[in-house]
Amino acid sequence: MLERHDPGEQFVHNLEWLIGGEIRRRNRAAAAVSPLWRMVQVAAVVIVSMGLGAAAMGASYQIEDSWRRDLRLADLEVRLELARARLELVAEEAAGVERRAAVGTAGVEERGQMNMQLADAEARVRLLELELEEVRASGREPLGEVSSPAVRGRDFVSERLEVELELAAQMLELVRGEVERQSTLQEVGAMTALQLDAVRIALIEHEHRLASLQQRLAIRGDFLDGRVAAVEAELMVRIVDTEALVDVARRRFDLMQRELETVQERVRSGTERSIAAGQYELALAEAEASLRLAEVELDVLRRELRRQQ
Amino acid sequence: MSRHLPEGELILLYRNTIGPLYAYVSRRVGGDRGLAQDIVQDTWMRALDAWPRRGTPDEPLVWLRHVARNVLASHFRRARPQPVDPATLDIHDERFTPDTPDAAALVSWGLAGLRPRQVELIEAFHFEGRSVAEIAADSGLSERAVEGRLRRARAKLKKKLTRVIRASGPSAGRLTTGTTETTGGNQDARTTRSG
Repeated sequence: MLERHDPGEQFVHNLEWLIGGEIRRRNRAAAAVSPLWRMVQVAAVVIVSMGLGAAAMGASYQIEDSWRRDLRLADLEVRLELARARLELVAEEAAGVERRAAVGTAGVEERGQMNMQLADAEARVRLLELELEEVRASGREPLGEVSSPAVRGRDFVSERLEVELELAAQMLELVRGEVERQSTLQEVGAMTALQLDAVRIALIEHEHRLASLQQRLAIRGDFLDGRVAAVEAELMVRIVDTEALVDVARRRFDLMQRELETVQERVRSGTERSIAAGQYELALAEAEASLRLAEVELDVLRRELRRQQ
Repeated sequence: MSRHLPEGELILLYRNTIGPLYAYVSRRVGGDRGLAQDIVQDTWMRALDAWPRRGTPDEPLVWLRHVARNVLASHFRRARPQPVDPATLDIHDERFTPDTPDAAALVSWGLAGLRPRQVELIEAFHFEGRSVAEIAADSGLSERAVEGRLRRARAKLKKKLTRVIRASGPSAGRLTTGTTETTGGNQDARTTRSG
């Protein structure tokens, strides 16, 4: 039962969310102070000293704010028009490929690539539409963090995540089909096992991308329902991404080690110059450094999340 | 010069201080939940204004309580007190506890005109229920000195409150701020901040 002088869980959570958002807003504003902006401020002081008065200064700031917002809206509208034009073009192209595929003059690979382009163009249009709607509704830049507030009851973050999720699912299906096709090529000796493994890592990256978006949506839901705080939500998202990064970096490192062994064998047999092995060793050292860095980052993030919970 | 605010650090600090800060404010407003929430939120927004410029204080809770006290004083200075039923608050009783929103609002209105040290003493004794011995131990004063200061602070408060406490009917027990009224004894009712 809530004691009389206890703040109550809901209030504590809401105020924490408000404070977190306010801190981020202030930090963004502080970062945005450019030398040009300082010059504008100095100019404003000069204008005041020339006797134009405070009212004129206030009016000029309002015009500038409105001008910035209008410019952002105009920028988004132009980008949306371009994205729609691109979509029309890609859709026409895709229809052409389908017609050619029906008579056997376009292959599976070409169709796959065309479908990827089409899905990407559709998603870009939808994302820009959502950004434009958010700027109109909120009067500020669109926010993409899972701990961003809803705008007049509308959750733009989740809507954009849904669009990205749909695109990622389509991409994964296409990559999966490509891996199956290349497996057949490897079976008949048209490509090496190492080449196929490289393609499989690309598949795993797409699987991670899909899983990451699904988890982002779930974290977003938990945040909006008040089950996790803003800091925890952001940490959880970073952990999901870093876990994926570590997994892919580890697989890449293993693959490169095997590639190096192959190259070293070729150098010993005289079919490859020794400099090639040196280049591989350097690339391997870089991949190992990236892996260690990602592991350290993951460890730090997990510890911070435990500290926050 | 504005500095970057460390979000993780501040959120942790918020979590560590929200309980005691809220309890302090809530006691000062007699458990008026809406008003306590407004004051706590206002206090934290002032912290976010001040800390980037001056740095996070060594004792954040002390700082927050101090600012909350100023916010409360500012709020109650704007309040227009009306006659209060003496049954709701017996200021002649040395152990009176302002534990209803009306009584707390009235006492807080009175405190807005006292010196900060006197306010701290009244708060500690009447709102937080601490003994003279405890206050003396914390402030480094003798118990006798605390009693003397407390007596003087109470006398000043009484003088201010006597003007608004009248022997009237129960329906008269209210304190208004701006156009909103807080009805006596209603825990959910809130005194809206004006301005």
